[in-house]
Amino acid sequence: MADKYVVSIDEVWDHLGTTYQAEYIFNYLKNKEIDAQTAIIEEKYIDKDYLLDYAGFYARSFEPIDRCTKRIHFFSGKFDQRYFRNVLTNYNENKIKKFGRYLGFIVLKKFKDLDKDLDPLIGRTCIVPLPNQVKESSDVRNYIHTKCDSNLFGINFEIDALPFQAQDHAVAACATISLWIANYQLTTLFQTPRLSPIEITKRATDLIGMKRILPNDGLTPRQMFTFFKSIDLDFEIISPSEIREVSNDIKTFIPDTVKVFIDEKIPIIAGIYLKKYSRRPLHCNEISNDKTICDPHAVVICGYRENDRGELTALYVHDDQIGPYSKVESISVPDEGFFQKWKNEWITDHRYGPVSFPDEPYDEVFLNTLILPLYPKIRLSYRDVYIYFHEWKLDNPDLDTILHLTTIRELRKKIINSKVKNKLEILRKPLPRFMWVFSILDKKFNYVDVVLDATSHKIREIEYIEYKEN
Amino acid sequence: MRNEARRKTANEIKRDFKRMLRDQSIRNKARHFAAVSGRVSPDDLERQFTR
Repeated sequence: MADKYVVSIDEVWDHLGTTYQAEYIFNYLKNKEIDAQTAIIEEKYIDKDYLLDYAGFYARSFEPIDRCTKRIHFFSGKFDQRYFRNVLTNYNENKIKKFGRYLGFIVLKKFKDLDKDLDPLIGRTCIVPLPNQVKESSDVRNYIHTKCDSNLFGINFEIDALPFQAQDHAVAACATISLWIANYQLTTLFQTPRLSPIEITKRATDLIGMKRILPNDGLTPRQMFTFFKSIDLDFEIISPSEIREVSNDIKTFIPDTVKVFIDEKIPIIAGIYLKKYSRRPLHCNEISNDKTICDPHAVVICGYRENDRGELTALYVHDDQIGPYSKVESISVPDEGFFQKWKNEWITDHRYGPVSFPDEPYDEVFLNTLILPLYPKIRLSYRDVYIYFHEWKLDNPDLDTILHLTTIRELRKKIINSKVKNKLEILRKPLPRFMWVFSILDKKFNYVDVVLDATSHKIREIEYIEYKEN
Repeated sequence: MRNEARRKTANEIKRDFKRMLRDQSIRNKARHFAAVSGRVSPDDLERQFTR
């Protein structure tokens, strides 16, 4: 069929090109926990993010580049083109049931390789995360996500997902893409403007760096902060490996931080160092003081997996070189914190190795920095409250204590739906917009919430909320 | 011991938490932590994420 736009999942492979991200996404969609069966292809799709990048860069290139993209939608049900045509011509909501679950879409930018063959690059991609409940395990997964909707030939679909895209060297490297991914979520949380990669790169490089802006080789952390400032956000940057200087026993700082921020749907940008310990002399352009190659890379931590004891067993990251919801495990090293060193494709798959070692993966993935974007009115920083959280847990190992950042709206919603001592007075009491809350649980029953004013510059408790068992 | 701890009342939790927030040694530790610990080196702030 010349115009075949409803295809099986295996036939999608012919459209995806040769990038590692495309291969990753294809395998992800075929995973038994997602189980995509059918795809529908929109050949001429105008994607706003790409169009802005096109206008800012490609429109003035000599090489003719297509301004339209191809968008592919995925479904868990099995159906063919004849059935889909029938749905469109005799539309009835019941007929959509055969499509199964909508699993999201990918946008393909129609770039060509050196032989002028189409070799698309993965553009804005919104696909569902793996289910919260892990199959045949008591582990659960938690993710940050936002509402992503699409309209396919007149039919609306919506999923909860965090958008992803691969880097397009012309306008963005990993740092810009991390900001783009994070900003999608921050727009929902803090009403920041939605921006395309080239717009983010241009805002970040208001702080002049040592290299040209476009094509973009990457941003420094300072340039990333410049971007946050441009969208009226504040941030915290923490180097987890330096925390042990003060408290030798904080090994759970990274898992604690991931849980606090992911549970509040705040994305975390992780600065990782990809290291290769060289066994041969290095070229002069490789960082070579101790014969180690160190390539800084930025990714977004967007989820985690925990066991029934509340311990983190994996992180999920949007890594623009690997793909969305890419799994990261911790490598246990004595005297080092959990998830300080990562195990993922960077050290297990030779295709992701350094340029100068084409057949070998990196030797180490080291989490160097955590960048936490925050609304400026959250003045009591995470660092201000963390030691109290840590000390409380040490002194009360039999009580489960969860640290949250919450809003007046969320807290009142929780109170109104619970049995609470002095409920009416607490509900009527004025509260700040943002609060840090220590939820202290006994046998998973929410017992006491200690509420701190997050809009203050100092530790100030404003309420102790006592819950009664239902 | 574990069972004893589980029976902590809401009032005891409140009392212990207040005590912790007012404990000068913990306050000093928290201040030091917020100011110094986990600090990113100036070199790292200027290092481009290139991968």
